[in-house]
Amino acid sequence: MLKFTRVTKAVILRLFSLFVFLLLGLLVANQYILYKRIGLARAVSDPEGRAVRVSKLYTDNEKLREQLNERIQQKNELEESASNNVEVQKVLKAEKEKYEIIAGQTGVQGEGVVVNIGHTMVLTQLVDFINALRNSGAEAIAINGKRIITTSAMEPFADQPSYQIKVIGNKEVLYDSLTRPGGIFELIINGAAEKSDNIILPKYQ
Amino acid sequence: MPAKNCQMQISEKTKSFLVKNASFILAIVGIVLGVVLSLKLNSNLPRIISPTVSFVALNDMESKLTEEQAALKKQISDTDSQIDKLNEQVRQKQSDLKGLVDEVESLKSQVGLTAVSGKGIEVFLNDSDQYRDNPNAIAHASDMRDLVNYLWFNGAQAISIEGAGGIEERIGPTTSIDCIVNTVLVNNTKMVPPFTIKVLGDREKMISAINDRKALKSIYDRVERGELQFHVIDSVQSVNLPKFTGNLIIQNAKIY
Repeated sequence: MLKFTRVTKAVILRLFSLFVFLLLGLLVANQYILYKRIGLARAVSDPEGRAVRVSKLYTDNEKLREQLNERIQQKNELEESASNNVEVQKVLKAEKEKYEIIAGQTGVQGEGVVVNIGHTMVLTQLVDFINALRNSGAEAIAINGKRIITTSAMEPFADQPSYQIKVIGNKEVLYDSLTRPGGIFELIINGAAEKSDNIILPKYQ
Repeated sequence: MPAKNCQMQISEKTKSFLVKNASFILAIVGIVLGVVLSLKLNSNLPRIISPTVSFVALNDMESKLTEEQAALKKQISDTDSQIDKLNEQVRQKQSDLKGLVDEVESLKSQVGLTAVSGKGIEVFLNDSDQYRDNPNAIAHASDMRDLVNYLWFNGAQAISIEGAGGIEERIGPTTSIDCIVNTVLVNNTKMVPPFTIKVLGDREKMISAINDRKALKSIYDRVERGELQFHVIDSVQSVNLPKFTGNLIIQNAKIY
């Protein structure tokens, strides 16, 4: 059996202490370096966020271009038909109908999705859900049979036992936004969506 | 001889010091060696995975698309102004259509397509000035979503959000307020703090609502901890809000 002299024991103890403090120094320095790197990563522009912003900008600009073309066409029609009451009336009526739909002054129908959520939603979830639907191109929305508009607050709809949310818009885009991995159902609240060719929503009250 | 004695004394003193403080000295040596070793291990630069070229290209593309977005919004606004002038001409020249033109103008105002002014308040919202490195001590997009919803609930007539650099967006029919990593998008327009939320409506009611610490508990808790700046700007009595310039394409909804 190994017999350690006092001196040997002292040396082993000292070496062990050295090793422990060496490890401590290593850990402290590593932590500091990691902290600095995290700060640097935050300070440097985020490529992933930038890529998402670029993608959103591209899509938004496409929609704006479409909107501009629509306006230019409207302006041209008004100019061309300046003396023709019938034509001007047609253009104005189309404009009026569009804004009536947006303002919720009429019932609306069209393709879209029907979302069923079989449990309660707190206020913040509702706010986020409707925000996400608008970001996905929702043109008209009704929650549990009640139409909502720009100035509709979500308080009256919070904490209900279940929800049926009908959304008129491009049914493919809406459905994909809801159901895809990383989509609305995954990020905000779980539910089920069904595409429909004809959804009818009441006017806002 | 005396010098040699002196050296021997120093040597004895040093030896005595070293022996008495061996643990302490070992601790210092250990820590220093550990730090040096750590720095050595972390000194190797990683291989470049994402070359700067693609970063620069993405950066350039974002700038270009942002400029394009602003230009398109301006063109839409200019075309709208031309349409308004034509409608005015129609109103003047064709009296039988005057009623229809008036209806369209009224509807546009209702849905946020005209600039508005009147009595209102401005609310200041900004990241913490104390905890700059804390990712939670910032004004989130969710804060603004909640505030907009809360203001509608309290009777606001119109709302806009202005970010740094005077970039302002009216809250409209298709408005979404989102967060992409560390920037906020309102109507898909990038905004950075500080933010000013402008609200058209009953001043007393709005001020009372914003100052309600119970109703806005999550916001005021963070204000108390110094993690957020949030208050009504007292000096403002009236507000001017621009018209909504976001996307307003109605392709699928028809009147029923």
